[in-house]
Amino acid sequence: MKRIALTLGRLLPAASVLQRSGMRWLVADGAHCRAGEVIAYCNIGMRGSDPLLKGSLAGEQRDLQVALAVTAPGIVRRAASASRGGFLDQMQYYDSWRDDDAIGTLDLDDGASAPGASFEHLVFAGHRALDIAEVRTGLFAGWHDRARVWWGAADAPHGTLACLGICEQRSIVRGEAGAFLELFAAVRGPAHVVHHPDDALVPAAPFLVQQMTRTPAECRAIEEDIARTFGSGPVAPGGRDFMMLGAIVNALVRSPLTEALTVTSQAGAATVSRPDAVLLSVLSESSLLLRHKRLGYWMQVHGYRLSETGPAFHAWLRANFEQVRRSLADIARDLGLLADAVRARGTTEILVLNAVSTLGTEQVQCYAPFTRPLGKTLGTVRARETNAMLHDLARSHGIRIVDNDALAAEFGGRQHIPDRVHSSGALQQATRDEIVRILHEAGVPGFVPRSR
Amino acid sequence: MLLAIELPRLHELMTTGVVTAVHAAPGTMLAPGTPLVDVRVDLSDAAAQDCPPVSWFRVVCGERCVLRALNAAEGSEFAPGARLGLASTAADEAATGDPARPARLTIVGIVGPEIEW
Repeated sequence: MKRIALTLGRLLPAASVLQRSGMRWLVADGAHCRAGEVIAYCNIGMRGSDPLLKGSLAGEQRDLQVALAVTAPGIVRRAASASRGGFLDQMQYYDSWRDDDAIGTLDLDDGASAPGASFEHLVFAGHRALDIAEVRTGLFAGWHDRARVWWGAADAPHGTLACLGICEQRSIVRGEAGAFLELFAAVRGPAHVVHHPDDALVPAAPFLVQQMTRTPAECRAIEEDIARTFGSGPVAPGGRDFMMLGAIVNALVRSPLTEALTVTSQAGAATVSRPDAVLLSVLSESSLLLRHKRLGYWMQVHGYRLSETGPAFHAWLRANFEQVRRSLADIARDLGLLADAVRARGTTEILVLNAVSTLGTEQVQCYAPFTRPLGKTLGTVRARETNAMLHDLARSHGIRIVDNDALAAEFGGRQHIPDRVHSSGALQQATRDEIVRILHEAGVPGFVPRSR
Repeated sequence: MLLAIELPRLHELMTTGVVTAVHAAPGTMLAPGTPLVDVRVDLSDAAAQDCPPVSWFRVVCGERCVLRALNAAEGSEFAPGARLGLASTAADEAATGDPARPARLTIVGIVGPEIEW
């Protein structure tokens, strides 16, 4: 048996000064770990004057973390000094990142070797939805309106995948603990994955296209209009209404598909000006959207979120927005326009998660009694029509379909996706693997499948 | 022969379903495919959850019979297996006594109503 020291290794260029918290362990002392398994993490921070702390990182510095994945299989022996608990393991002010610091040892499996570094670094950067949304309870915890992760290796430029969908996509991309670990366990190479959650607004195609082209003056006009109109009715909004509105305004004036992002590595900082690939969900494309009566901007909020707001919020919506119904043809047109818009900026691959059409308890023997068109009433028929529309888009606009529907049918809808949206871990893993396979086949850098 | 119309188990984890629409009235001749009621099943009814797992189903008749009684009003809540109504194979049969068996029903998932504001 060979024992190696688990040293932190080089994360940034030598000239950078990196601070860090104590280590928080994800495995027990004496645990056996496979190569690529994340075993510990810490919060990190750079000095405000550090030239690496630029671009998007400046807005993410409160929630920067590094997770450490062992490069070889073996048994982990934790150093007692690596973790001191409490704030010392949560705040990045109490220690410095020294490449040679060892946080433990690894008793290598027979025949295993770790010729290079003992760790691969997974870097987490979260942009808080609100600065007061401070959560330091765990790995990549907190409320972020943008969450991203990348391998810290510097052997090639990072390939970036931007993910915009609803909850069914969130679990596939972010995994069981919300920390992207399963997705990054599936890839080797300089991958960079960015998730834009649908907490405030649902990323429907017309909304995303408008975000991409909205000028600062138009953003200001939206903010001024909302400031003038919200709460002007007979009922005063409650605090939660204001918080929901704030999240919506923040989402309206951002543009996830065009914002520049900073990625760090041992080689320094690089700016990603556009994603190489975009992952969308067709379930984001509701047939009913909100359009502002005066300014014409689109908006879509989950119905269950609107149900949680108060009467003042509802009154504001009714006074200022009209509801616009979209046919399947309208949705196809909108997705096509989005595909054109992102391609014009250099994003090459557009992946879309399709809809699951298998409902385990359904037992239709005859469709004759149902009102035409069937897709207006029957959920499974609507899903099949939607998926057929995606096939048309694949031909006309070269989008790549992530066939969640086929995977669900293969696994069994009743057991693995009982409501056609929320799926089991096994089905999520299969979909995740399919996304990586598609990205790799398409030549998106960084997404080489890792053999398991 | 009397037939019991019972709420099928629309989902393995459901505890109840809420009737959101009633499509048939007592006295109606039912045929395979005649819709009876729409039911909303919310698996998060025990505990609030983001993106609640809500599904809508239509309960459809699966055989020829006459609807004799329907207890399911809009908004009423039933557990799986609860009696929603009574049907008979003949129109002039007395609607008293115990049903001989449950009516054959079909379940279909339907598109839920979109929230309008």
